[in-house]
Amino acid sequence: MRVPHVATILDRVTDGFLAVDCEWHIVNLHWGAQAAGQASLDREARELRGAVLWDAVPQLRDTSFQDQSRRAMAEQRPVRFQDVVGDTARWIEVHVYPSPEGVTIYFQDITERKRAEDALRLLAEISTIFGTPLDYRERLAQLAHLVVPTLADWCIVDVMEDRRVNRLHVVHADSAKAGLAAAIRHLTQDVDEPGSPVAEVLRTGTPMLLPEVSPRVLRAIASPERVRLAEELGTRSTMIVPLIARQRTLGTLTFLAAESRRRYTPDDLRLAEELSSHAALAVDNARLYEEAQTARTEAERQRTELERVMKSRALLMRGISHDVKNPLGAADGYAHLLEQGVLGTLSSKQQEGVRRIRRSLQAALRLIYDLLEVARTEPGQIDVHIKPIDVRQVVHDVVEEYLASAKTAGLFLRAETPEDLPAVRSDPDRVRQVLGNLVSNSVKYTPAGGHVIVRAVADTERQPPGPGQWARIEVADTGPGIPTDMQKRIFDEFTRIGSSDVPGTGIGLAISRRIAWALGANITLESKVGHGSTFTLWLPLNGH
Amino acid sequence: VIEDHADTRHMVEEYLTFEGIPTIGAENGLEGLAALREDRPSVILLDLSMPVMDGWRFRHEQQRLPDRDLAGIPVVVLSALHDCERQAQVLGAVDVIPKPIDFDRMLAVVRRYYVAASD
Repeated sequence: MRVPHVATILDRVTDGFLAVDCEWHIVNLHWGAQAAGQASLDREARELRGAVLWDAVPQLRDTSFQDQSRRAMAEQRPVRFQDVVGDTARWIEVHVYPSPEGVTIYFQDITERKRAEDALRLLAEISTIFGTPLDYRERLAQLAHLVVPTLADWCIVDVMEDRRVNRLHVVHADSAKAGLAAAIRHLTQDVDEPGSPVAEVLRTGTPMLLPEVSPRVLRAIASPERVRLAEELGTRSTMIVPLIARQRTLGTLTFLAAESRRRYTPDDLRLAEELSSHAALAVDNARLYEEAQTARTEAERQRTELERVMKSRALLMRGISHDVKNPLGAADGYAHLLEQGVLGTLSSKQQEGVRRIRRSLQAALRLIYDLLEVARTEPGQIDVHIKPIDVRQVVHDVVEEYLASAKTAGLFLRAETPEDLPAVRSDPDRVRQVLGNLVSNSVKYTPAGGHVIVRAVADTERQPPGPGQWARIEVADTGPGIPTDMQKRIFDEFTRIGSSDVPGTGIGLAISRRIAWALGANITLESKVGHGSTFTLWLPLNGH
Repeated sequence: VIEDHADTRHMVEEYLTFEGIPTIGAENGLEGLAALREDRPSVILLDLSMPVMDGWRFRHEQQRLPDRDLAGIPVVVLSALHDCERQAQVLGAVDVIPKPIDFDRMLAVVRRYYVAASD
C-alpha cells in the first residue's frame, strides 16, 4: 500500500469523488478535471481500490471528515461540511451521499473561494475598526485580533514612535504560547539592525513575502536569535508589509503562518497590503490629530497665560489711575494754585520754578494717560459703533481742532476733501481719534514753516491693504521723514524717533493702529528721510 | 467737597475759597451725609472711589433722604475713572470734572450751581 502518497495527492487535486462500501473499502476513486491525464495520479487511484479508506489515508482518522462520513452512513442521510486538509492547508468542501451499498463522497477544493470570502470579510471589518474614533494603538490591536486566525497564526505590529521601533502588539492563536509571545514582544527592534526582516521592510518600505520559510531561508535573512524564535513557533510562511502613509513608513505588520500550515501567496500579500493601507491611514490620521491636539492645548495654555498677564496689567492700570493720578494731580493742582497767585504773589524766579514743576508733572501725567489708553485698547477691549460717516466732516473737524497748535508751531495745516467721496461705514469718533493722533504727531515733528495736509482721497491709484473696496485718508507732512529701518517699528509701543525734546511717550501710533484694526481698518506709512512722511488710514467701505 | 485724597480735597477747597466760594470738606460719603444735614450746601463735589462709603453709595443714600431739599442738592462728579462721564450720567449728576482737575472748568461749573443756590 503506498499510503503516504494520498496525502500529497490531496494537496494537488482540487476536486474529485470517492465511493466506499459499508465496510469503508474504496470502491471507486476519481480525481477531478485538474488531475485528468496525470498518469501517476490515475495509477494511484487504481491502486487504492479495495483498500479501507482509513488505512489508505490514516491522516483522516479522528478528523471531522471521519465523523461526518460515519454519521452520513449511520443515519443514511446526506451531510455537507468543510475541512482543512493536506500539508498546505487546503480547504475542501465535502458532500457525503449515503446509499444502502455505502457512501459516495464528493470533494471540491474551495481554498480560493474561502480565501476570497475571508478577504472580503476582513476588508469589511477593517473599515468598521478604522471608522471609529479610537487611539490608533487600540485600533492596530483590533486589526491584529481580526487577522488571527483567519489570515495568520501570529500577527505582530511594529510602529515607529519617536524614531524607534515600538513592538505594539503580538497576537497569536494558541494561548499556550504566551511565553513565546512575550519573548517575541521583547525582541529589541532597531531600524538599523542587521538580521531583522522587520527592520529591512521599515528601511526599504517594500513588502516581504516568504511563501516557504525553511531553515536555510531563515538563516539567510535573520539573526540567530530570530531564527531560534521562528523555529520555536513553527513558522512556515510569512509576510511583512509596511504601513505607509504620505510616503512615510510608519511601521510594519508581520503575518506568520505556523500551525495552520498555510502557505502565503501573492494574493494573500495583496490582501495584507490592503489591510496595511487602511491601518497606515488610521495611524497617520490619529497622529495628525494628536499633534493638532497637542498644539491646541499648548495654544490654549499660552492664551490663558496671556489673558492672565493682560488681566493683571489691566488691574495694574486701574491701580495707577487711582493711586498715581490722584497725588500727581494734586501736586499739579497745588503748583497751579501757586502759579495763579492763589497762595500769595510769587517772584518771577519763583514763577519760573513753579512752571518747571508743572511741566514735569504734566509729562508724568501724560505718560500715565498713555499707559491707561494702552490698557484700554488691548485687543477686544475697544468699543466700536459702526455707522455711516461723513469723511469730509471728520477731516474738517480734526483740522480745526489742531489749527491752533499748528499755528503756534508755525505750520500750515489744511484739509483737502474732494466732492465725490464714497460712502463709508465706520465709527466716526474712533476715526476722529486716530486722525487726531496722526495730525498731532505731524504737527509735533514738522519744523516751523512746514506743511501738514489731511486729505481724503477718492482715487484708486494706491494698492489697498486687503481685498474689497477701501477709502483712504492721508496725513502728509514736510517733516524730517522716518528712516526705513524705523518704519516697521514705528507702530510698536513706546517707539520714538529722534530727540527726546519733543514731548510724548511713543504710544500714539500703537494705539492708533490698534483702534484701526478694531475698525477693520489699517494704517500704513510712506516716508523718506528729508522728504516728509505720509500716514494713510485705510477704511473698508462697509465697516468690518 | 467729598474726597478721600486729602491733598486733592484741600487743593479744591483752597482754590474755591480763594475764588470766594466757601467750602466744607468730607473724607468719605458718610462724613458727606453728616455735612449735608448740618451745613445744607448748594452743590456737592463728589469723588467716586472712596473708603468707608464710596460716591455711588453716598448718591444712593442722598437721593433717599426724607428731606427732599437735601435729596435734591446737585452733585458734580469729581473722578479719575476713565468712564467718569458715563458714571456721572448713571448717578444723575449735573456735571462731571475729570481729574486732574481743570480749575477754570471746575470754577465755572461750581459757580453755576452756587450762584443759583444763593438766589
